Order: sequence, then C-alpha cells, then structure tokens
Amino acid sequence: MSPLKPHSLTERNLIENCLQGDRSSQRALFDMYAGKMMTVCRRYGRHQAEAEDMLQEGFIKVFLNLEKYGSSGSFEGWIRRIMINTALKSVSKKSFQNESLGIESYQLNESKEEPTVMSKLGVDELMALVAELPDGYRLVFNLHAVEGYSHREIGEALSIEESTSRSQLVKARRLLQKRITELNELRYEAS
Amino acid sequence: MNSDMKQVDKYFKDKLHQHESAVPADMWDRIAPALEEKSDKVRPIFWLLSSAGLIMVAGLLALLLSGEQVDNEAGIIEAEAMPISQGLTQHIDTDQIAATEETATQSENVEAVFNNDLASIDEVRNILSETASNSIQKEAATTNAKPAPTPGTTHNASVPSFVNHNASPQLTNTEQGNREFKLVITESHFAGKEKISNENTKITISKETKRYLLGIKGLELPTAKVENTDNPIGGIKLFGSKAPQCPSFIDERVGFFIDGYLSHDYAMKSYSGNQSYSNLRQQTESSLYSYGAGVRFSYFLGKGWGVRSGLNYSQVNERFAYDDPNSKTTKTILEVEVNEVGDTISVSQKIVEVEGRHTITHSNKYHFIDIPILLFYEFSLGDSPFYFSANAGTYVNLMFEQSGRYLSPEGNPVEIAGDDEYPNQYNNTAGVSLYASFGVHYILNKNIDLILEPHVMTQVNSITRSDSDLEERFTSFGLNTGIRYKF
Repeated sequence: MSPLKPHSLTERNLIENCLQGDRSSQRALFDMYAGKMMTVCRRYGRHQAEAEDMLQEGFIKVFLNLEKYGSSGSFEGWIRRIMINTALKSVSKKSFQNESLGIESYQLNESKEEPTVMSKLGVDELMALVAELPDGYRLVFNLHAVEGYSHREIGEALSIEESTSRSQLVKARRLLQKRITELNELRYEAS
Repeated sequence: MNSDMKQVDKYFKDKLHQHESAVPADMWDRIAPALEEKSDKVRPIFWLLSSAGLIMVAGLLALLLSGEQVDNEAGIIEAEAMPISQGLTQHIDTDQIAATEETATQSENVEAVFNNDLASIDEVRNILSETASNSIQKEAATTNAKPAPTPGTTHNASVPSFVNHNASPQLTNTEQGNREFKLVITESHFAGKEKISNENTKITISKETKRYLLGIKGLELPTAKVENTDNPIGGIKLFGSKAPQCPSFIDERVGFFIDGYLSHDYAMKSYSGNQSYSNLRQQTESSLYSYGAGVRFSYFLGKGWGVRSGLNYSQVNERFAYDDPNSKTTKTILEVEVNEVGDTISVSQKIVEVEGRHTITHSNKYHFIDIPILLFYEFSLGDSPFYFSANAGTYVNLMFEQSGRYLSPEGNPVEIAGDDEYPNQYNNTAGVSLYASFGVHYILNKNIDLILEPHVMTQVNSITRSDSDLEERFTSFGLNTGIRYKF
C-alpha cells in the first residue's frame, strides 16, 4: 500500500471552498483534473461523444458527493474511481454480455509472434487501439492493465466470472498486439 | 509470453494512466447548471419547513389568545307552534284550566318575557321558576273555575270554551309533587260547538356564545350554539310529551382541535425492476417494528366534516442479513504436549484459515418527516361517549433520510448512504403518500378525548432515483394512539 500523500494546501482549500458552494473553487478543481479524467473516459467510451457524457456526469457526481470524500486517500484516486464507476454504468451490461458472447466468433489467431516494439506509438494511437477493442475487452483491459484492478474486483464490478475476466484480458492483449504489428508493418512499408 | 503480455500492460499504463486529454471548452458550462439545481432544491424544503412551522405557531397563538366573550344580551327566545300531543291533551282539560286572577298575572309576566327577544336567560329562568312554584297550590282552587269569555266570541254553555290571545300562556303542572313542570301556551279556537284546534307553543331558549380572535370584536370565530329545549332551566321542563332529542354534539362542533399521537407501524417494502436483483434484496432485507409520532390540527367545516393537517415523523426499521460466501474464518490452534503426569512439555501455535460463511447483519433505518393533509368525517351513534372518524388524504414528504446497508447489484454489501463504488440510490424526498384511517374516540372530559386510529399508508412514487437499479416503495399498516385536546 502506497503511503498517503499529504494534500497540498491549494487542493485542500479548494475542496473546503467547494463544500461551501464556492463556484470559482469548483471551477478550479475541475480544471485541475478534467484533462486526466477525460483520458479515463476516452478509454472507456466507445466514441468521443460518449466519453464527454461520462466526464460530465462523473464531475457532477464528484461535486454532489464531495462531502463523502474522507480525506484519507488521494483525491485524484477518489475522482478516478467515480469516473470509472460512471463509465461502467453507462456501458450497457447487456451489450457487454452480447459482446462477450460474440468474442468467440472473432477467431483470434493464436499467434506466436514476437513481442512488438511499441515505443514508436503515440498516445493518440494507443487510445485509438484501445477504442477499437470490443466493449468487453476494452473494459477488462482498462480496469486491469491501466487501473490495476484484480480479476476478482473486475468480476464483481462487471457481474462476470473471474475466469471470464482473465480470458478476455488475454484476448484483448492479443488483439492489441496484432493491431500494433499491423500498424508497424504499415509504417515500415510507408517508409 | 506471460512477461511479454505484462509488458503490454505496463506500456499502456505508463502512457495512458496520467495522460491529460483535451477537454471541450464548454464542458464546465454543461456541469455548472446541475450544481445550481442541487442548491436550489435545498431551499424549497427549507422554506416549506419554515412555513409549516410558522403556520403551526400562528395557529397555536391564535387559539391560545382568542378571547371568549359571552354576550349575555344575545339570549334568544324563539317560539314555535306545534300540534298538541295526544298524551298532553289529557293533562289539559278545559275544565281544569281557568283564567284566574293570579294565573293571569303570571301569564302576563311570561307573555312579557316571551315577547321580548332580548330578555336575558336568567330573567326567563326566574320568572318561570316563580310561576311554576306557585302553580301547584293554585291549581286546586282553579279547577272548577270557568274561563272568562272573550268579547266577540260565542260559546255553548255546556261546553267550556275560551279563547286565549295568541301569546297568553297557561301554566299547569302535570303531577302533584313532581318537580317537573310544563309551561304550556295554549291557543284554542272554537267555532260553534266544536273545538277546532288546540295548539301549544314550545318555547325554545338558546344562548349564543360569541368567540373572538385575539379578543377583537369583528374577528369573530365560529361559535357553538347550544339549544336548550330539554331540562334546561331550573328544573322546569319545557313543553313536549316526549323529551326532545338531544342535539348531536358532532353536528354542532366548530372550531379547532389538536391531536397528539404515537404511531405503531409495520412497513412492507415492494421492489420492481431487475427481477434477479429484486430477489436478492428481498432475501436479505426484512421488516421490523416501526414507529412514528405527530401533531394534527383539525378544523371543523360543519355537519361532522372537516380538514386536518400538522406534522408527522416516522421511522421505518429494517433488518439486513447477508451470508458472505467468500468469507474466511481465521482460527488459532494451540497444540499442547504433556507428559504422563500432566506436565506441559511444549506449546505450539498454528493459525489456519477456514472457509466458511459469515453473516453480516445491520439495522437499516428510514426517517420521514411529512405534512398530512386530510379530509375527515366524524360521527357518533347515540349518546355513548364514543364517536368515530373516517380520514383520508395525502402525506407530503419534507425530509427523507436513510442509513444502513444493502446489497449492490453485484451482490456486495454496501452502505445505503453511498460510497465511492456505489452512490446513494435514494431520493432526497419520498414524495407523496396516500393515507386512510378509521378512528375510534372516547370522550374523557369536556376538553380531552382519547384516540385509537388504525391506518394504512402507501407511497405513490418510488423512493429511489430514476437511474437506480430498482424501484422501491413502502406500504405501512399501523395504529395511532393519542389524545385530542378541545379548546
């Protein structure tokens, strides 16, 4: 468990002012974290419009429930969890389950390719690769690989079995690897 | 391969976890209105509470400070002609009734009183008492006396006849030694030899009590009008072969009453929405004894009808019980080795984990503050000290708070108040509920009644947010026990 980081005076003051309804402090807090949370929402959303809706709804929940922030952990971590929960709710579980059933028809190539060098890919390209994933793959990959949740926690959050979470992660990684390989090949040919 | 896959994870995490993306310029403008709406929602509740409190305080003050002024000059004596009854006819025998000098004097006194609408009740009482007390001794002397004929009339000498003036009263007693006397005003008309009609006049004496708000004349409150036609005045019973029926006090009640009560309830929760989640919640939540308390002001509109309002607090209690299948119990095992004589040789400690079930229980509480707005009808059956009320209307919720635990859709026990993972699913207010009851009241004394009122109440709208996974509503059955104070 990482040690608790002391709050900066600026952030603590902002939070206190927000609790008293100070609109300018709310705006300042939003500006501090909106960029990072936009990235979170873009990773979970299927498209830009959905990501913006998640961001809007997530920040509304942050400010309406600010009194529940107990100051015992990272404020960024608290906001991030709210954003993720908001994102998971907006992604229809039914469509997720349909996707997860349809995954089998993908017929992924059980490739034995060597790991691809990914260092040439920019953030936007990586985001685009994640967005291309089917809903189920994308959610599991984001929650495990990027956020660091365990498969048990992912299973509880998405109402799926732990084993399903593991298998979908493997498939997500393989699909990403395949797409990265294709991108690099295209670049090599272009050069 | 596994390490390669983890490298993929690490690469994506390093690149994306702390990356800041461009945010649309108008994003804050989309968020701010929702925050304004929340602060606006708080104010109406505050003003509602304040208004309700002010109204109740004003009502209490008005009742306490309202002056009761009895206007002694408002005594009204009304006369109503009614047919003579068969029974009474026997007591009025024209042979026995005679206009004696003394009786005429008494008749004149009563006539004078009778014609004066503004005479005080006490004056009438005194005159009638005097007249009645004298009539017993006078009757024997007047039995055989014949009435003096009135000029202008003809009569048959064999048939005693007389004509009384319209307002000439005759006084007679019914039984010697009986303390009841009847004031009879007779009017008989004779045409030829036959008696055409006998009429007797009933005297109705009523006293009007005026009530004024804050003692200010002109701000008159509804008054109680008491009609005293049966045994009202100094033991003298007014005319009537049958005792006049007691006026219903229900019909005559006006003004304000205040009820204070405790409520003993049992509330059942209904769920609708996701069926599997609904089943999960029903298995883990059960109703417990619930209770409430309140104050109600009643205002009578007349004929037993009226309206009620006030303030009601209720608490619904619920038990949450959940068996955690993933729980583990840690057990510490001490192994003690002893020799033949019982001496301890060695002690070792071993800690083992045993997979088992752990029951998580919690007391859930739902607090409501409501304003009841009810229409009622009260009625009595006969002269018993019991009367009954039928009440129906709505309860408007001002405040709704919850505490405790329930299962999330994922099957995890979470706090009702909400946390990072699963926000609060309930609304700030519970909306409107429908209420119906049937009350039994017992009159303890002139100011206090006891109340026993079984009731049923059901919520119209779901108490959960529109985006929650389930709709929930309470239906409660209960019994109010309380007292009524009549000002």
